[in-house]
This record gives sequence, structure tokens and C-alpha cells, in this order.
Amino acid sequence: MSKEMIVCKGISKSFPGANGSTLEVLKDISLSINENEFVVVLGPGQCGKTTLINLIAGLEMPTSGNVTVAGNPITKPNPDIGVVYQKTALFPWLSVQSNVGFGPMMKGMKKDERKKIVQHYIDLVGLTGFEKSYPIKLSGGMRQRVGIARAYCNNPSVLLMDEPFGHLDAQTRYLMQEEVVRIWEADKKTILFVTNNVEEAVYLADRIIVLSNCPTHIVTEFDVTLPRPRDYVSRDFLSLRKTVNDSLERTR
Amino acid sequence: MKKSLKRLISAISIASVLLFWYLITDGLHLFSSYLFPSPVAVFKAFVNKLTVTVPDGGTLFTHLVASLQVALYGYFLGIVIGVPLGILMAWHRKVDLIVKPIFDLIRPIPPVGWIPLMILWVGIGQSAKAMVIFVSAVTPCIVNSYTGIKQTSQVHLWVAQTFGATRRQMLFDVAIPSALPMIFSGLKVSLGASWMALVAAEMLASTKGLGYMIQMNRMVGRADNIIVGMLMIGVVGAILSAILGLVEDRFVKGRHV
Repeated sequence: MSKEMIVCKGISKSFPGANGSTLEVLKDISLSINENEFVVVLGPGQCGKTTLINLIAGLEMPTSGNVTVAGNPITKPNPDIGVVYQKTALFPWLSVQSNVGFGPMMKGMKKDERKKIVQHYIDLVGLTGFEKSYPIKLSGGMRQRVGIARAYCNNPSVLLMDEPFGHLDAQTRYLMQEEVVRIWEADKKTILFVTNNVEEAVYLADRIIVLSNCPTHIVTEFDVTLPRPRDYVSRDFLSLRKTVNDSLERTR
Repeated sequence: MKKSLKRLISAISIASVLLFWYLITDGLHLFSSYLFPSPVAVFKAFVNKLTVTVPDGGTLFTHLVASLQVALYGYFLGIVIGVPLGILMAWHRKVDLIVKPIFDLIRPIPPVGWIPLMILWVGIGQSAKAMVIFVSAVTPCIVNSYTGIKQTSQVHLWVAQTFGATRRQMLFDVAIPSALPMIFSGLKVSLGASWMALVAAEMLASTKGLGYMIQMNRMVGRADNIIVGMLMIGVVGAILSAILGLVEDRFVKGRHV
């Protein structure tokens, strides 16, 4: 029996809206993610997904319910939980290697100590040769590689990924999906990956959790047992893709 | 576009202005040479002013040094006080609440408006002018540092937090580096403002400096010397901001392709 890594129990989150009303974003979400499991949270709408990430990361507190990671209740951000964001999350004033080494630097690790592990993760994500480049010189896919390396470099046990490939062109997106599976297989973490793309979810996940639109709650779950590396156009892949797609709410 | 081509275009642009200036003065004699001297006459006045102290009591160099000294003194004072103050106001809510109302009241007073009070307090020496320059330099420093820190991206702060950054690390490793381009543009505005305030202050109350030199030469009707002084102010101002540009390139990384 594998260990439960992320556990959310009945979490809801509301924000104050206009004229004293409240906007309910998450409603009674309970989920549990095992150690080294790759779980994709698939949500159609614009609301709730980043909030879910922020609640698990400890950047925001739930209105009700609670979150634990590795058995510890989450009350504030924790270096054991890494986050990869959709865009603009790299520090533009730092080179690739300084971005990747940011976590260890916050821990007070010396520069020459950092150098080796930074290089390891730059190599892992395939950015060897770009150590001294600044993010502005990199393509969208390369920037996301830096984001992943930066999160990995801090050696968290949990990685939260908030639509990391949402802004990439289709080709780069396929490539990055393959890459993220390769990196995960090389260095296993518990990953919670948020997306609104059904194909991406089926390609990546051990398990897919389908969310509704606002207020977000869990609609259903799918276990994905297709062997890796997966084939985007195999019959099993396409049939699962259709099943998952049919479970999504139609929203305008 | 190639750098050499850009330089060539700039050189041609300046050369055409000089040529046009020459044409309407020495070329066609459209103006009296006493009121609007030709570039040749101005160049002669420039060479002359390098050694001659009449009619304003100093060579070009002494006036320039006097101006630079007081301008840089006031300017650096403005930076040293303005930048940290702006950062503190943006980062600590309490500092903001205490300082902002005072700042908002003082800010609309034009720097030149401080001159009479400064003359009364410390006379027409260098320190009065340094104070006036300080007042003009400090405002853009505060405003830009404040805005720069306030514009720090929420996602960047989140990232730092998820890496366990302390609040101090978030200020020094995220907010300040992220605000640096904005702070530098404040330093540039500030430099321009200092230089302008200096000339105004020297024309009103001074015994030396480029502004004073211009003012003295107006009294004796020496348009050539006035233009020498004006051009000097322009050239030195441009050089100072070019130097600042180099400093900026050294510190602000990763913002231009």
C-alpha cells in the first residue's frame, strides 16, 4: 500500500466579491494523492484550479477543510512543495543557472555547493549550454524547462504544476509532455498537474480527477493504466480520451 | 540596424543642424551676428573661454566644475535618501502611511520655489543650490522606487515563498531586482531634473557655475558666450546620462533581447 502524500479534506474557498457578496471558488474538494503518483486535475473553466494549487502550496488558506502534505498540515509555504506556474514565473533578472539555483540560495547554500546540483537539473531538463542565458532569450518551451528545473532543484517531494504548457504552441506542447514524463521517470516525485486539455491529461496521468466549473467540485475520477510511453493515436488512448471528454461539463 | 550605420545617421543629423545654423548666420547673414553668432564665432568664443575669465569671473572649466560639483552632490544625496525611502514606503505599510501625506504635500512645490527660502537660510553659496537640487532629485527617486516595488509580480513573490524565502529575502532577492529597471528610470529622470534645477538656481542666486555664466553674459550682451554655456550644459547633461546608461546596463540584466 503506497503512502498518501497529498490529502485534501473537504476544502472550500470563497473570496469576497463585489458589494459584499462572496464568490465561492472551490466547493468541498476531497482528494488524496499517493507518493510518486502523477495525478492530473482536469478542469474546464477559468476558476478554481490555480486556487487549488495555491491552497496545497500553502500560499492561501482554505475557508473550510484542511490540507496535509506528507502528514503535515499546510499552514504556510513549504520548500518541500515545489510549484511550476503557467508563465512569467521565471525571474527575468536572473540567468538560467541562477533561476534554477534560487531555492538552494534561499536556504543559504553557498554558490560553489549549488553549482553541481544546479548543473545536474539543467542537464536533466535538456538545457545544457544555456546556463548563462537570460529568460528573455529563451523560447516558451525552454522557459518551462527552466521552471521545472527550478522546482526540481529544491528537491521537493511534491510538485504542483499549474497549466505549465498552456501558452506553448502545439508542437512544443507535445514535446514538453514527453519531457515531463521522462523527467518524472528519471526522478520520481508526487506530481499534481493542472490542465484544461483532455489529451494532455490522458497522456500524462496515472489518475485523472475531473473538476466542474465554478464553484469547482470533483465530478469524477479515471485511473489511467495505459503503458508508457503512450501513443496519442492508439485506439485505447483515443477511446479513453473520448470517455474523459464526455465527462466534462459543457460550458460556454 | 548596424551600430556604425546608426552612428553615421546621428553624425549626419548633428552636422546638418550645424550647416543650417552656418547658412542662416555667416552664409546668408539673416541675423545680426551680435544677436545670433555663427557656429564659427561660437567655437572661437569657446576656445577663448577656456582661458579668459572676463566678463563672468571664471574660465569655462571653473564654471563647469562648480556646476558639476554642486549638481552631483545634490543628486547623490537625492538618490541616497530617495531610493531607500521609496522602497521602504512600498514595502512597509506603516512607513507608507506616515510618509505619504507629507510627501504628497511637499511634492507639488517646484524645486525652484525652494530657492528664496534656501537663500534666506544658507545664502547663495553652493549648499543652497545643493539643497535645491536635492529637492528636485529626490522626488523621482522616491516615486519610481515606490512604483517599481509595488509592481512586483505576485507570481514572483509566490515562487519565492514556495522556496521558503523570508520577507527580507523577498525584498532583496525579488522585489528590488524586479524594480531595478523602474528605479533606474527614476535615476535618469532625477538626473535631468537636477541638471535643470541647477541651471535655474545658478541664474537666480550664484557667484559661479554655467547658469551664472549665461546670466552674466546676457547682461553684457555676449550671445556667443551664452551659446557656449548653453551647449556646454547640453553636452555635459548628455554625457552624464550616457554614463548612467552604462551603469544601468551593468546592473539591469535580462530585460533586452
